[in-house]
Amino acid sequence: MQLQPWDEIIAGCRNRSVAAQSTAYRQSWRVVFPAVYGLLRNREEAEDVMQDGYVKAFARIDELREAERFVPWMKSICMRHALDKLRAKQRQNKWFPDFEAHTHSEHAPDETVEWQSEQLTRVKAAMDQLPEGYRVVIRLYLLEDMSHEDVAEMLGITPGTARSQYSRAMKKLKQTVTELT
Amino acid sequence: MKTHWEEELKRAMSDQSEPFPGHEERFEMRLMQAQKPKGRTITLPRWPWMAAAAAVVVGLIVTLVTSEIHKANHMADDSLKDLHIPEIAAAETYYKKYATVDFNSLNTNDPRIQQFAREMKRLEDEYAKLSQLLAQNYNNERIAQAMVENFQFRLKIMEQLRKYIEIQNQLKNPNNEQQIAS
Repeated sequence: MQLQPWDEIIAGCRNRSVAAQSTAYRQSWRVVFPAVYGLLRNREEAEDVMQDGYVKAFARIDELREAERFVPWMKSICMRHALDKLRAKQRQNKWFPDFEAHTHSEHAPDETVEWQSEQLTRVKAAMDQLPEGYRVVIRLYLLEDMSHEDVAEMLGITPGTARSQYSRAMKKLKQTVTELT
Repeated sequence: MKTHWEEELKRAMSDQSEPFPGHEERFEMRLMQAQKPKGRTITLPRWPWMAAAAAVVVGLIVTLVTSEIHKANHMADDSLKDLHIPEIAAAETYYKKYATVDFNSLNTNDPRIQQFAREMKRLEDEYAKLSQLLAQNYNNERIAQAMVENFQFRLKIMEQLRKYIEIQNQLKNPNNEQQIAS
């Protein structure tokens, strides 16, 4: 697929051109979708949330200053949208549970050897078992390469809380992996 | 600085998931729907226009077939009391006052006039049913539209009746024949 320059596409988007908006979507969803899907873990829901995010973002396209920043801007909007969705779902549950680390170093997963497929399966299963808030901070910090400050800003918590929640989340993850072993 | 465990975890959890096929087309549909102007759903402003149009046509008919039209039929339909649309109530009152044909005063032996009378009666009965239905389903636009169309049909029949009577009068008038002959 030949990529069209972003400044041309965004100029069209500012004129409310459906063709330009469609092109912007086609050129960026491969970056945006995995991030949204990673948070929601449901393809149908992720598509709906992502597309809704795009439509809302196009309505405020004038807020985007640099056309070249469109993809991270859109990704951020869609991820916030996905987080709102998750929060709405989690309203009844605690976003971050009280957690006391019971991880014993002798039972912690081996951190030095290359992960084998069995270990991968266990880690993925453990991730699925994590409380939503823990899963989200791991995903944002580790997979999206966001700083603790950015994670904090996105989740509406302090950087200190983001850091400590990440630490707890990793302990919990390792504990769960060990239990599954 | 990320640990080896974190790096492995990152690699393990990175996925290249894609939406279901056809998502680009679905998105285009969504964009088009989002850009559609929000249309007005209230159609009440049509009523004053209908009432005005009905009044003009009825006025013409009243002038031309004065002898055939009764001017003071104040019979009130019970169903009209249940209606809460002032425009339709006004149009109906006006129609009943000035545009009701008394077929008894016409030549009822004329099969053509009998046909007009039957058709008018059928439309009046239908209108009464529609009025009752509208009273029960106040927001049903289709019923209101059917009532408007009922008025329009009745006005068309009256116009045809007027033309028919005009032709009949011309045929009966001996001066016409003389004018044609000269």
